[in-house]
Amino acid sequence: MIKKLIFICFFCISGNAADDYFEIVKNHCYECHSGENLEADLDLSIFESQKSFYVHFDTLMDFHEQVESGDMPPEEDSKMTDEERKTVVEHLGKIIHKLETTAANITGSTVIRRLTAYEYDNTVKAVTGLDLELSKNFPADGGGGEGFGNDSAILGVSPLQFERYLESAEKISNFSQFDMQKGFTFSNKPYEAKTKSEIVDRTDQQIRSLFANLYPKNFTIKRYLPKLMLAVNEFNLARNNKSKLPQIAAKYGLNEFILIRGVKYFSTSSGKGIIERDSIRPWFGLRLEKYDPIKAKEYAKQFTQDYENALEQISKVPDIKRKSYLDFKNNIKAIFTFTEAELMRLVKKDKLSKYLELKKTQDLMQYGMRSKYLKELATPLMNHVRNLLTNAHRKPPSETDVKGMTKDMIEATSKFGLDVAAKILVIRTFAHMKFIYRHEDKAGKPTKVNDYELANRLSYFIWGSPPDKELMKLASEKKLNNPRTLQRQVKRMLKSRQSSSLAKYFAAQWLHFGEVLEAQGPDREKFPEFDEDLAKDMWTESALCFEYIVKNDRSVLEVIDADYTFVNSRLRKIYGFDKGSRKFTKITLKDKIRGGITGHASVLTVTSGALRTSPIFRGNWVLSSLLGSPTPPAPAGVDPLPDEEVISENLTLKMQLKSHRDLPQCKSCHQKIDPLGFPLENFDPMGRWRDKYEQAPIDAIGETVDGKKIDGPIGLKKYLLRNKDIFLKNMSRKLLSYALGRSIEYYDFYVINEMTRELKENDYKFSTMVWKIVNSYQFQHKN
Amino acid sequence: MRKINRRTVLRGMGGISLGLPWLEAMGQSSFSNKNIRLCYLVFPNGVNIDHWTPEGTGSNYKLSKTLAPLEPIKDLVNIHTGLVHRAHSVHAPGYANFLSGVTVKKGMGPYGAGVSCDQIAAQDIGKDSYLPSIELSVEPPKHKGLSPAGYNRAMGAYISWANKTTPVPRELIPINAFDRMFKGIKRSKTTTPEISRSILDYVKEDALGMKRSLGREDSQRIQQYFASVRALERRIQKKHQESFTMPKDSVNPPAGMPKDFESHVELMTDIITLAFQTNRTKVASLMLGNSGSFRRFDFLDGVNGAHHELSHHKGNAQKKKGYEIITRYHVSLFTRMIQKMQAIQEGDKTLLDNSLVLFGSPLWDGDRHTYPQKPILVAGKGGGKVKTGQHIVHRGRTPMNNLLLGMMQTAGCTIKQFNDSTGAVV
Repeated sequence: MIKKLIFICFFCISGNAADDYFEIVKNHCYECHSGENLEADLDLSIFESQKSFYVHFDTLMDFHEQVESGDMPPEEDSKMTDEERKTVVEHLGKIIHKLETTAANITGSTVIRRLTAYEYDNTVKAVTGLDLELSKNFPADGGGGEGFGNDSAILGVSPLQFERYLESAEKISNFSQFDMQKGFTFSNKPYEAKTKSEIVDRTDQQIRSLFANLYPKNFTIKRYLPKLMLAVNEFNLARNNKSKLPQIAAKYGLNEFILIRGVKYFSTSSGKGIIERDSIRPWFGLRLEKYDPIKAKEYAKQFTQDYENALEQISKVPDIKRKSYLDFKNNIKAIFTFTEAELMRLVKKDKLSKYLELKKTQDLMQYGMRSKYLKELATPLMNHVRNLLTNAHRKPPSETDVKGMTKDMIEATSKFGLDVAAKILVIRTFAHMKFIYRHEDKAGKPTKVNDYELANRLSYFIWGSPPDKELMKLASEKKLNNPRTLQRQVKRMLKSRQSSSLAKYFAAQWLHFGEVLEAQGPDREKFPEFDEDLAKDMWTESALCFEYIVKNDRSVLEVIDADYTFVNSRLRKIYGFDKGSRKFTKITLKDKIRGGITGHASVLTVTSGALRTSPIFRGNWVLSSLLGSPTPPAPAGVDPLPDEEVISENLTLKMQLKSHRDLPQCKSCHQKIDPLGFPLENFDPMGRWRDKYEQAPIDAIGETVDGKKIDGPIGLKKYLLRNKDIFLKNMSRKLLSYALGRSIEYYDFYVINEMTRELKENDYKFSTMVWKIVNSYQFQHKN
Repeated sequence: MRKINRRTVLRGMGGISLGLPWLEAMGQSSFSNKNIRLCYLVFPNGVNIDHWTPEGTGSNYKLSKTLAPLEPIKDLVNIHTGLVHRAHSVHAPGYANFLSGVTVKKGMGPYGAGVSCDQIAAQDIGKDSYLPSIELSVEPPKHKGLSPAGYNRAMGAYISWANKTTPVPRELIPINAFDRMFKGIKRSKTTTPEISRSILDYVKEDALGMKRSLGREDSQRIQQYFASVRALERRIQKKHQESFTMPKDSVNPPAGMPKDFESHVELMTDIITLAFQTNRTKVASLMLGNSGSFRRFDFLDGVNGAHHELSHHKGNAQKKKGYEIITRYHVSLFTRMIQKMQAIQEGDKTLLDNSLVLFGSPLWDGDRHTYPQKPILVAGKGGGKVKTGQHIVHRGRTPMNNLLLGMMQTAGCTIKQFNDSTGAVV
């Protein structure tokens, strides 16, 4: 509907003016910009369809600018009268103005996107507290849209990536542990999941420690099994005289209940049948016979040995055999375990309830679904599952998910035991699309995002991480949508340590200083001072400067010009500063050479060749990164970027470029690029100051198309500040694209325009941009 | 050229035929025409056009300077001259459409390329393999943002495309590629096959659940994810069905990123060779660099500068020379791979006889950014269907897709037409 409205507006603009416009463009532009052999790959006939004004908005603006500036059409090819030029410029200008000043209220693509490599690591860290750096084994992310790796358009999952995610989920699960009281926990030490029987033994230990007073000190079955057998023997010798029982029990340090069960077990046939012949010698036991104490002692020792052997064999024997081994083990264990009724008589109530809890857990661990306690246990278990899912998936899970996964976990418990079942659940949680992707519930039509979704959009934008507890709490209370709360939170987030992510990921990609870490850098023989450590320092300076602007809500113009920077001793040396701290410290600058990104060694290195500087690269970088106007491609047959100085060939680079610029097909671009690159010639390929290059003095003057001079790095800064509107608009565009995780479309220019306007009204404070984005229709809506 | 201590996977095979123990157990029948392997190698920045094209045609031709390293394998390779992609093929888009020839979408929006022929083959002849295909590279994706020509530069890091908007990520670290191919999923000790099975069942169930909860906008993403789960499931099943024997003299690659280019390339080509030999996959692609790669080849005598820098020589003799040396060096790396493949016996043939290995660059003249034809070599006899040792000159702007189609068909793909193909050649 909204789309249609704007559409109609365009037709209002069209009419006669449009006819004139088409006539002029056809006459003057189509020869090179339509049909088969396109100059600069630009086809202007696309604008014959009104719809293209939206789709190719960037091209439209470029087209407008080229005609307005007089760059196009080239004088040699076609003479456009001033009148005609005015008609075209006005017509295009109206359309652009309309688009930029109309709130389109279109969300744009909100296609589900997976976490980028760094978001993945940050999210694992936030959920588990562990810095596992799993993403280093992932295939590297490409760069999308406006140059940012977080563009949803490129964030899908291939089979290879899925395998890595599954492997990573399993790695994470190795650091997790589950416990009915504490739920899912993660710790630095890898935890090896125990088998079912190992866990049952573990709870036995816990139960026994609960009733420590009922068991002798240092109680183990192994130690007390022979004692019990001797006691039974003695009882048999005493002709089963019940009155002797307490006395005999006391003599062997046993509880009477245990002795009674021992007598029952060893005096009936049950002890015999289940014994495996090959590992446990038949024990015809104390069943009927009575032994003299010495012989009985020998037998008891033998039997205990057999019992131990049986335990050892349990994990090794085939399934069928294992059952009889287990039965045997459980029978012996049962003798030494107090029954509930016995405990009722022996212990205080509070201990009893704890015992019952443990017993239930044990049942669950052993039998899963079949547990008679299932009803009671399901609730705490579900709570633990819900907590894990809420943390890992960054929003409360649906109850269907919780119930389903809990049920599956109980089922898996009966198969593999609780530890493995918990491990499976952890793997499943981290291999889930809701973990790997940033998931939002789909509405089917443009709808405001809910509080949790807003919390996620905010935190991945500002922190590159999932929402913290405070954001999650506000979301759960549905308070985040409240403008005041939201503003407080945005302020808090920008001030927090984590907002450095805007420097590390946003600014590093936008200004390309991140590339200093990946680039090969200058030639190591000619520039032996350059190494990986220095590259990292260069990166750090740029990151710290941007971080400073973010955290202290400084003017974004400080990206261009600031009277401070951050240096360590190595950078001080490169910059020729006085010696100082080895660590990075903020310093106030005496002159205006450094301070501002155009004086940072990082970008000066990134935009240089290996041996020499490249005014073209640097000019193009200033033009595209700072001013946001990438140049059209070089015409066919012409090298787009002559890449280095060739002083030895009698022609300075400047002269060479000048001759280059005299060619009509090169002129329109190079008259824009060159003057922005030359002022930086005072910086060598790794950003050091120089006055001379191979004996020739440096000529750091760029001359713009209107004959104005840009003199050296300081002149360039002045030039950029004079053109700050263009810079602000470009920065707004980049930040919006990064925040939305998609490329910019025509309906975003309204917000970009607003951002630029409000920046000017608010001392260019960085938070103005963020606040405007957070409040934009795009940021707050989904499809 | 500089002597370096190479690290290899296939030990002792540096060009000398050692005759690896062939897997006799697999039997002759499994190496019929149904078992043709396809491999695609791409190198960046075009060629020095003065020294690429050989003199003479047919089998009676003289190798050019750049192609001189082909001498020992001259009989095993064909040189194709005159094949074109009509679509814009400079740098990033040239990579994106190298294996499809479609017109690539401009602008910052979602990518727009076409399904590449290796991925079509993977889904056809490769679908029953342990891995339908592998995609490798020796350079991380670096470039971001819009190129001066208005294309998303990130596309220049991919030649394999699963669909219009989805490049297939490439494996960069040899040990990871090796483990994935030969060891399967990394599992911890406690994860028995039974547990592993149920994990995958649950993950699949969750993916199905997502299918219901996501909107139309996301349907492609969920299908992609689901297909990935299914692919892994198939792999795990296959692992139990198929056994394979590693050749005795193969060794595990070193951990991490190899430091030097030559080792890196050789490890990757060895892994492909080994994967073909053990029949773990039939389709592979390997990028010897991203489009417009700035890799420095100073370690080669006579080279001073970065590859892309030198490719824009503007007639400068020194640069032109360096540019030519770099490409010649790439040809020698290709030659080494082909020699190793030729040294592996499969019955009365060799592994190379049962393969088709394409080697080429999207650009022709890197200096002027032109692409009136592509520099293309194809080694291997495709099971005996291809006569090698030829310099084949195609006339009248023959679509390169004719060759890509011909290769697919020779390998047994059912495809009849491939984008702008007008016939099939091999």
